[in-house]
Amino acid sequence: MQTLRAFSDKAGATGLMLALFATLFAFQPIANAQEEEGAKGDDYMPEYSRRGADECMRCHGDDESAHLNAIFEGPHGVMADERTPFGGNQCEACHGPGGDHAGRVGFGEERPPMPAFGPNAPWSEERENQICQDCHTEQKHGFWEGGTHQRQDVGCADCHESHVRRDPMTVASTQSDGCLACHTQQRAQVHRAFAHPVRHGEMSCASCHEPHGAPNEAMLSSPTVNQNCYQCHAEKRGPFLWEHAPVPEDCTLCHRPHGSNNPAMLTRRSPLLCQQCHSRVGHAGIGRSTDDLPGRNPSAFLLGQSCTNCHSQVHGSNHPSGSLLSR
Amino acid sequence: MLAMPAIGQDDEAETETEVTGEIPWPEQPDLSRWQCRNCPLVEGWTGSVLFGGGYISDDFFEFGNYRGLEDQGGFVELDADLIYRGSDANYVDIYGERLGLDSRTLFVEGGKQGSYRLYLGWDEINHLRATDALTPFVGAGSSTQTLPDDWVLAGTTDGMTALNRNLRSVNIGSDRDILTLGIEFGGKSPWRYRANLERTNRDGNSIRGASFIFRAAELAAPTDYETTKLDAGIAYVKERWQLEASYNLSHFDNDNDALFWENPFTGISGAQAGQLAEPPDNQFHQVMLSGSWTQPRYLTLAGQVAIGRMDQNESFLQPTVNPNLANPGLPRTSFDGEVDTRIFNFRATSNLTRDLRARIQFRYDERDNGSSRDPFTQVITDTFVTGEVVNEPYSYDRLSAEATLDYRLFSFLDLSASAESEEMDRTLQEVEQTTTDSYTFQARSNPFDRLSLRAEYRYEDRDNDLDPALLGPGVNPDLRRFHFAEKERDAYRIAADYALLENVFAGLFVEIADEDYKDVDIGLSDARSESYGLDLSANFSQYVSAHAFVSFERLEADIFGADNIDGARWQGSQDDEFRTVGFGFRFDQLPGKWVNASLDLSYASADGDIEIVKRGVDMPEFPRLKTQRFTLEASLERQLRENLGIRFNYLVGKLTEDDFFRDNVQPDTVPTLLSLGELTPDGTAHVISAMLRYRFQ
Repeated sequence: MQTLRAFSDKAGATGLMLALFATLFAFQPIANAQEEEGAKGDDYMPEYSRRGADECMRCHGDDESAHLNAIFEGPHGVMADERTPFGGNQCEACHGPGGDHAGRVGFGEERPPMPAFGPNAPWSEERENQICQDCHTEQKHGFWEGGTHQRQDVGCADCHESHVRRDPMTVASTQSDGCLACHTQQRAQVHRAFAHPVRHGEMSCASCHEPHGAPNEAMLSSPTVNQNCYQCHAEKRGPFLWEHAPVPEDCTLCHRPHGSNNPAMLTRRSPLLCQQCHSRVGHAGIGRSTDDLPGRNPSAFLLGQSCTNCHSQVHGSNHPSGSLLSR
Repeated sequence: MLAMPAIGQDDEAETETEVTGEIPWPEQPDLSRWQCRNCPLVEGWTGSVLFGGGYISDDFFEFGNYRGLEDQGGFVELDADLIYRGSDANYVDIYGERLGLDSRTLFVEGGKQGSYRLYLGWDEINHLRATDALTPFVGAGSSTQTLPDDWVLAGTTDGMTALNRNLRSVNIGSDRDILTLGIEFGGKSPWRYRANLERTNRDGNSIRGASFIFRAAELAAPTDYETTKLDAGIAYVKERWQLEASYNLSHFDNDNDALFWENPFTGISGAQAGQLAEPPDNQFHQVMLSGSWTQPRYLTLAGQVAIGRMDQNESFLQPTVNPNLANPGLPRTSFDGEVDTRIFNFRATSNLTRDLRARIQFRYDERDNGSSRDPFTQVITDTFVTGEVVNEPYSYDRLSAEATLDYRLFSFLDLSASAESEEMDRTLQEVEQTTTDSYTFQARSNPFDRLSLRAEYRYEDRDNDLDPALLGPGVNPDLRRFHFAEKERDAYRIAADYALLENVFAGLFVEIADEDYKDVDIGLSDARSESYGLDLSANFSQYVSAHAFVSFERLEADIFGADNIDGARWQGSQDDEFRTVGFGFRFDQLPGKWVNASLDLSYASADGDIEIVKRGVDMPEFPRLKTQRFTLEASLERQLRENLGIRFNYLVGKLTEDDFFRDNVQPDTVPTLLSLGELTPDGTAHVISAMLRYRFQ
C-alpha cells in the first residue's frame, strides 16, 4: 500500500499506465505460447444435422422438453423473419452444428453435446456471446467489448432467456430480479426505506444503466451521471440564476441512488450533510445537539427539514433575491 | 471473436472467418430439407389475461406507495400479457400490469418483426410521502397560499392562537403519468431509424421550506410539471462497424413560476408575504455521434461525441413582494441562462493474444456555463435589502484516461490491473483543479469447478490546488469541502461463489472502503463503508427453486466543525447500519390442478446513530433513526379448465420508522418553525386478491 502511495505521489497514474503496457510486452511470449495451445472447446466444429429442427424435435419434443417450445411463441421462433434462428438454421443457428449430437451413437457411448448453450457445451462463453451478437447488432451493443460485463465474462445467456415467450429482462417488473441476483449489494440497497421504486417494479435497473456496456462510469444510459438523473428530474437541470455548486457537477455527491436511510436518498442527515461544505460566521457552522430537540429548545436549525427549512432551493434558484437559496 | 454465417448477412462473414483464424462453421446445409414440420409453430394470440379483485385491510400510504394500494377497501385488478403472431412476421404485443390500480402500466407494440415496430406505452407512478400533514394555509398545494381570516400573527408558533382551529389535513405526494410513443425501422438494410417521444406529467405537491429571516413554515408546494423528451436516431450498421447520429431533446415546462404565501409570523419590516421561484421552464438539446469498429478478435474501437445545450430564459420575479421595501432594479428581466455541454468518450479494446487483453479509455465531459453574469441587489427573505451579489455560473471540465490489462495467467486464474487519472477543472471555486489517480487490481479464479473467487483492491489519491483565499468572506479558512478535498481511498472487495451441491449454490461477498480526507480541520474528515452478504440458491428441479440472502452494511462518517471561526470545535459522526434478509421459493408445477405457487419474504431494517462531541465533551446521543420493513408476498394458482385458472395472492407489509427530525414535531413544536406535523409511518396492511386467468393458446 505504502509502495503504491509512494509510486502514486511520484509517477501518478500515467506512469502506472506505461508500466502496465511494459508488463504487457513482458507477458507476450508466455501468452503467445498459450495461444498456440488454443482453446480446445472453441475448435470443436461438427457438421450440421441432416434435417435441422425436425431432427431435434424427435427427442426434444417430449413432455420433459415442453418448456423449450415456448421459443416458438417468442421472437426467436418467427420463421417469416429470416434474421431469427427459425428463419434459417433453426436450433443450430444458436446451438451450433448438431451433426454429432443428432448422429448415431454406439452402444454405451455418451451422446456428444451440442457445441453451444447446453449441458456440457464445449464452446466458450465468449464464443456463445458472439453468436448472439452476430444478429443483435443494435447500436447499444457497440460498447460491449471492454465493458464491465464483458470483462467479467458475463454471458448473454446469464441474463437473457431465449426459450421463452417473453424474456424477463425486457419487462421492468421482472428485470431487476435478474440483475440483483448477481448485484447482491444493490439488492439490499433497493430494500431501504428511501429508494427508487425498483423493488416495486416501477423502475428497472435499465432505467438508469446500460447493461450492454457504456463508456461512462457505472455503465449509465446517459453520457454523464447528471444527464441520467435529469431524464426524470428535469426540474433540477436549470441552469439556474443561483447555482449550488455541487449540484450541476454530480448528483451523487449528496444522494445515494440505490437507496438510503435518509429521506430523499441523501447520503446523510442535515445539518451534518450541509456542514461537510459549509462553515462560516453565524448559524451555519454551529454543531447541533440534543439541546435542539423537542422538550428542550426545539430548533428549526435541526428539526423538520433542517437547513432546508429556510434554504429550500438547494438545487438552485431563479429568484433575483435567491443568492442564499431561500427564495 | 467468431464469424458465423448468420442469417441475413452477406458474404463478409466468410471473409471474416479467414481473418480471425477461428475454425470456420461448416458449409451451409441444404435448408430446403429443413422443413421444421415437427416444430409447434405459433400463429394467432398467445398469453393470458388476469382479471379479478381484492381487498386492502388498512389505509397505509407508505405500504401502498408505488403499488397503488394505499387506500383501505376493494380494488379491481387486471393484468394482460398477450402476443399475436401472424404468418408473415406481423405481430401485436400487449403487456399490462396493475391496470385497475393507480400504478398501472401498459405497453402496446406492433409491427413486422425484422422490418419495423411501433409502440405506445402508458405508465403511472404514484408516490405519497404523507397523509397526515396539517397546515393552516388556505390553498395548500397551490401556488398561492393564504392564511385564514381569523389568523393571529405571532413571533413564535406558541403565540399563534388560531393555529389549532385552522389546521386542515393535506396529502403530500405526486403522481407521474408517462406516455411513450415510438417507432423503429430496420430490416435487411444497414440503415436503421428510430424515434421515441415521451411525455411525463407530474402532478401533486412536495414539502418546501419558506422563510423570513429565522422564521420558517413548511408548505405543501405545488408540483405541476410536464417534461417532453424526444430521442431520434439514424444508424448505419454493418457487420464490423456501425455509426449512429442521434438527437435528444428534453423540454421541461412548469405550470407554476412562483409560490406565494402569507407570512404566518409577525413580519419584520412589514414582511407580510413572500414569494419563492419555482423551477424554471428549461430545455436541453443534444446531438450525438456514436459508433464502433471491430477488427474481429484483435481490436475494437468505440466512441461517442456529443454536444448539447441547456437553456432557460424564464422571466424574473420581482426581488420582493414586500410593499414596504423599494423594489431594487434588475439588471435584466430574464436570466438568459445557457450552458453548453461537450462530451467525448473513446475506448479501444484489444485482444492482443488469446489470453491478454488491453483497454484504453478516454472520457471528456465539459460544462461550459455561458449564462449571463450580473449584480443583483438582494432582498433577504422579503425583509431587508442588502448589497449586490453577482451570480456565479459554474463551469467545469473533466478529463480522464484509463488503461487496463486483463491477463489469463492460467486457465483458472485471470488477473486485471488498471490505472486511471482524472483531472477536473472548475471555475469560481476555491479549488480550480483536482487530480485523481486511481489503481485497481483484480484477480478472478476458478480453482476448481465448484468454486469461483474474485478479489479486488482499488486505491485512489486526490490532490487539489486549493487557494484558501477564495473561500470567501466569513467562511472558516480551515474548511475543506469534501467533493474536492484532498483524500485517499482504499477499497477491497472479495466475493466467492461455491456450488455446495450440484444444484445448491452459495455466494459470499465482503466489501470495505476507507476514505481519509487529508488535513481536514473543518469538513468531512473520514468515511468508511463495510458491506457483507451471503446468498443461497437452489434449483431442486426444473420447476422448483428457492433462494435466501442476508446482508449487512455499515456507513460511517466523521465531520469536523466549529461553532465560530475562532474556535468552539466540534465533531459529528453518523453511523448507519443496514440489515436485509430475504427468502423465497417457486413451484412452477404442482401435483393435481395447482399449477404454481410462490412465496417471497423480505425484511430490511436500518439504524442511524448521530453523535456530537463539542469542545471535547460527548453530548447526549440523538435518538436512534430507525426504519423497519417486512414484506411477504405469496401466490397460488389452480387450473379450473383447459384455458381457465384462478390465482390467489396475498401481500402483507409491516413498516415502522423512528425519525426524531419528524416525530413529535407538531405544527407548533418548534417556536420558529410552523411545520406540517408530518408523522413517520407505522403500521401493517394486508392485501388479498383473487384473479381469473384466461389463457389464449
